[in-house]
Amino acid sequence: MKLIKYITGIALSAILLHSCSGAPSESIPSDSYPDIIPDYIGVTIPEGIAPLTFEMADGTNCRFETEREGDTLWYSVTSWRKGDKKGTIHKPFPVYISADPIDPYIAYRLIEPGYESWHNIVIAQRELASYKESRIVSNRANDMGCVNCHTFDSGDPQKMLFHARGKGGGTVFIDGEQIRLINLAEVGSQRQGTYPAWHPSGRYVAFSSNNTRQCFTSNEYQPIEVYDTASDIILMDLQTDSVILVPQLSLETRMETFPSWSEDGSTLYLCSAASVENVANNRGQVHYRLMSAKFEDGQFVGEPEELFGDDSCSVSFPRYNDGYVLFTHTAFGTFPIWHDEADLWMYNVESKEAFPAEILNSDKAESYHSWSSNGKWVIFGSRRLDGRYTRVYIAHYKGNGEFDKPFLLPQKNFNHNTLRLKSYNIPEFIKGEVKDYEKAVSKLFK
Amino acid sequence: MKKRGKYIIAALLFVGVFCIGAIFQRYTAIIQGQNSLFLFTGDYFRETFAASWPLSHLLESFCLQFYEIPIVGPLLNALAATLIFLLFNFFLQRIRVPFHTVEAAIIACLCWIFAAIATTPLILFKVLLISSILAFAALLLKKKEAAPIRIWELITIAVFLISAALFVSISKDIRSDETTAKVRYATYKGDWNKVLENVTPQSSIDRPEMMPYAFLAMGYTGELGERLFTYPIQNIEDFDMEGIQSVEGNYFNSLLNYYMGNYNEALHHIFQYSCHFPHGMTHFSLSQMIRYNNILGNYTMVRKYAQIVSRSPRYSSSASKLLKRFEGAQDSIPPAGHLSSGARTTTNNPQYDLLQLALAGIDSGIAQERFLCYLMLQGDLNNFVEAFSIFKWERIPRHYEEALLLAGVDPNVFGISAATQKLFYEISFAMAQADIPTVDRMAKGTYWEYYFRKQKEGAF
Repeated sequence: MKLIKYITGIALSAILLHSCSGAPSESIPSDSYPDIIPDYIGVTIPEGIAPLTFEMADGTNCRFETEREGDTLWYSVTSWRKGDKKGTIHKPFPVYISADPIDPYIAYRLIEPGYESWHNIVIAQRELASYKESRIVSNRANDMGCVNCHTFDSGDPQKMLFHARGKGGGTVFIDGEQIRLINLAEVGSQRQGTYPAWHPSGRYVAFSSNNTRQCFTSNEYQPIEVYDTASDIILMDLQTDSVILVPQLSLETRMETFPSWSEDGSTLYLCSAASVENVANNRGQVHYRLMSAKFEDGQFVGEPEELFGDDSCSVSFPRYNDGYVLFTHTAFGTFPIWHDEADLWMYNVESKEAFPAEILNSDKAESYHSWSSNGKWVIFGSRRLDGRYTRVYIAHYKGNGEFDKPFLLPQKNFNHNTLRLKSYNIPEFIKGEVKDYEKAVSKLFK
Repeated sequence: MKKRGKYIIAALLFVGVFCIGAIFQRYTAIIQGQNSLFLFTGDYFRETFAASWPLSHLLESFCLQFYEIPIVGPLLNALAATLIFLLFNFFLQRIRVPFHTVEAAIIACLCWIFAAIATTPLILFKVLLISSILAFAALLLKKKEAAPIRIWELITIAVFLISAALFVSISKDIRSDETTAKVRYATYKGDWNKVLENVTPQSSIDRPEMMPYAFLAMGYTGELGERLFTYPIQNIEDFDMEGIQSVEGNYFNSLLNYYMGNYNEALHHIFQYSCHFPHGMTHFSLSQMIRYNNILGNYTMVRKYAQIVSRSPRYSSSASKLLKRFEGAQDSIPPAGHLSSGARTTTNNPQYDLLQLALAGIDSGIAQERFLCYLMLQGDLNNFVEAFSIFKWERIPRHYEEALLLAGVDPNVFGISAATQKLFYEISFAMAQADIPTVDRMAKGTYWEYYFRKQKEGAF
């Protein structure tokens, strides 16, 4: 026993000595901000979010202290090279704290940013106040098939749906304890559902039904192009479990996709492009427009209206909030995550003008995004860290189409972003913790 | 013998498993090492513990990462089998099972056999864990004096040992897997002579699925146009390794595209390859991704993968060197405003892809020759002549001369050798005489043999 205590004592002393010996006792002040990754300088965060962690971009050691002054948290960073006797104490940088509350959880899918196949796919959730990540469901539940396109009824953690592809697959609808598997291809319009949008009333779900393909470039920086050869909009009534093909949003000459409802459910925003022959080789000619369609009493009324777009760009993932539609703007095509030029743009519904949300964008792809339940925060996927693995960013919405500087979802250690071999897919806010549905979903596939 | 008997048996078991493994499963172990993954990362441990038998998987993965070093695989397998014997012997002795040494030896031999025929030696590590737990539990039991090992027990153990050794040495499946592993490893290392030594026209009769490796090797050594039809190639499908969804297809196509200079596709296939393994990634895939991204000038990804690899005990030092080498290296990225819409695309259709590769400006001799071979195998002689004329030739390979003559070109314009011309005219004469045995004999191992057969089948 004595021996164990002795060894433990020596080990603890060694650890303490090691951790203290690295830090210099003296520091020279610098009038510049520290060069840190991720760039948290001047970002706006919600109250109570998990502490931000970062590293010096040049790999030097650092430690920091924080001091709160009203709505600003000041980070004072000291950096030093290993063995240096003096460190550098950098100009403190601010992190602004917004009083606007944020949903407590987010959900996303973790998947390799690969090509046709995958191994592990997990639809996971993360508590924003901590670093706790937990499983909602994984593809072990459906024999390593694909699980995708999770969506919640207005962020309700008890009501969600996702597709579970593969043998015996379909769309899984969860409503509290009730879990159902419905193969949309065998119901009504006999179309498979792809991108879903849950109507605010909770009664309807609009899906696009896409025939998706990919091609691979030979000698090109962008390795993959994912495209549709056809797509239409279908509407499911959850009260009757009926599915209809929406005639005005299923034109043979056009591809309609990415449905998304307005807050009051009176309008469906979507993207539509003229069909193109041999899409792989003519993918540069595929330009999706932002469209809207009126919805009343469970039916679409009139013809869809074209809101924005021309032959110089393509629109994806329209998401309405507060008189604006946030969408992804690319040069062409329908799958922005592989497009470095993909940026987030805002469309003002009243003035009918569109403009880039500059502060959210980078020289790499910004893609999927969604609003918090109060419309004060937006979450989006970006590949700005390394160009291949999508990571999650959150930005505060100031109103009038403007945002504060976004921040990378904090991790316990920044290098988690480097070491994780998965991309974050379809980040969505949720109002509470979702149950682990792995076992319940497994039963559907037995 | 009373006390040392079990140690002598353990030593014999160790030597047996090691030697047989080193001789007959050396490359199998190397490939197992390549396909393993062990990382000190949170995600890795989370994924491992989400699966069944997490501890044995963890132990296996930890050991497997070292199998890539030649001989280490057989050594660790031998060690595991020996420990299984000793631990089971200890446990069985403590619970007073009669003939415990024989039973422990049988368990160890069976584990050895099952590990040898399986894709990975997981069973060794599973049983090792079980035996460790049992032996640990047996420590609580009262010690019992070991009984001397009797002669019949020794003979039984010897019979089992020899049988296991014979099974592993002469099993057709194990030999075949070892050849595959040897060829795969040689292809990865670019050791073309070894590839061609192991995939011969004779061996390809039994294992036609290995021919694509030989054709890739010959593409590199410049013998494709000389030797292609000396192999028993029956169809165009035999030329390539189809299967974007198969482990073998992805491994082969990743290396094929790498050697052809089509690095995007090499990455595509290595990603696909990774998906066949428990963590969706392997050490081999990571090292290949570093290799391909380095060539593509994507140093950000090189650093990312190097940092991941640095979390593996086996590769941490080489990864650290790599990180130092690529510190601060700037990515080669296209100019601002560049779009990929005009780029040539591939579609998992090898012939179409080869054409796209040529049009994309990737100047690869291997790709060019493979394209010509595709045209020959399709019997598309007009396009063959057209494509052939684009490339420069110091000396025309034999099979191309045969195809050109069949296409009816002027032999003098193309500079076809007198010997090939003579043979062609002799075969033509024999055909005119309907002397089929002579035609078959003279055309053996030529493009004509293939062409005439396909014509007879109605394919051309």
